[in-house]
Amino acid sequence: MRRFPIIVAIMAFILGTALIVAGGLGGEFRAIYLNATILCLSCIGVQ
Amino acid sequence: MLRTEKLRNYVQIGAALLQNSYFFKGLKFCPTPSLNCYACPLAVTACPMGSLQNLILKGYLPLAMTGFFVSLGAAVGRASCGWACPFGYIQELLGRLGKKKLRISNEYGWLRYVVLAITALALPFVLKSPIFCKLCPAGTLEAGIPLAALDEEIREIIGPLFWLKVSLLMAVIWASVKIKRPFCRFICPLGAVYSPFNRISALRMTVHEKCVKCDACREVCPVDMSIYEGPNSGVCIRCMKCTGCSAVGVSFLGKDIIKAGRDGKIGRAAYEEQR
Repeated sequence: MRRFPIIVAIMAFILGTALIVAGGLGGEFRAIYLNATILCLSCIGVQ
Repeated sequence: MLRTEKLRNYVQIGAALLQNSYFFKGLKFCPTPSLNCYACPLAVTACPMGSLQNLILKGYLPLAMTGFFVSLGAAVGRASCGWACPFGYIQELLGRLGKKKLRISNEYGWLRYVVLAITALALPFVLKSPIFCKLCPAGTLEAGIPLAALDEEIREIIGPLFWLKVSLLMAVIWASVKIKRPFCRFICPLGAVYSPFNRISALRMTVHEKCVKCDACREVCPVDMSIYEGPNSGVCIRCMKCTGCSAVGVSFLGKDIIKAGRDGKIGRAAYEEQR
């Protein structure tokens, strides 16, 4: 395998990790948790 | 059965149980790598598509969700579709019921991007409602039907949209018997998110020049692709079933996990030997 795609994969992974941290600091995981714990009822086509 | 295929079966069952193990519900801040409805009475983690839509409709710029997709995609591409998706596994099990399959070209895979753009990104933003969740057959199977069966109050508020969802689920179930993993190949927006990462991911499929292009790999492939046509195309779900042929291998960060071109049979003879 060429070195180029390995570097691209590693850079993309680091970028993704940075975005996770940035989103987490912005309260995104709290929003995901709150959303996942309420009974949204989209699964039965209501709301 | 192939050794990798046996392992994948165990991982698929384990992933389905882990994501729906009822206990440890404090993990619901954490998205799963695959489509798994968080409204399921047993779910312990968050569905990434449901979370993405809800963040968009609430006005968040979904940085963490994007980061989650980018990191996972960069590491393993679409492997979570092939190894960790309960709905994908159900489609594969249903596929075992019908022996003769309808062959539909993977060229129609662009439909997934349309579903992603319209139902999971644009409409939730405009209508402030998780439109994909309202149609999602995985949600109907894992959450809608169990909730309606368990709770009388929920049964009372069921409307026509529920029956539309059930009809869509039935259509996917029927199609899964006739066509290989139809939802994953033509509809799933999560597959559309991961697909482009196959080209750059650390986990890669490799095909050795001793491949005779006999298309036996297409027969065993759960998404009906010939691996030699594009080992790292967005169609491949990295199930590694095709590695039964010694011309096909897998590498991670450039290091061979299963070496392409190793000693052993190739093509149909290889798959038949391991059956």
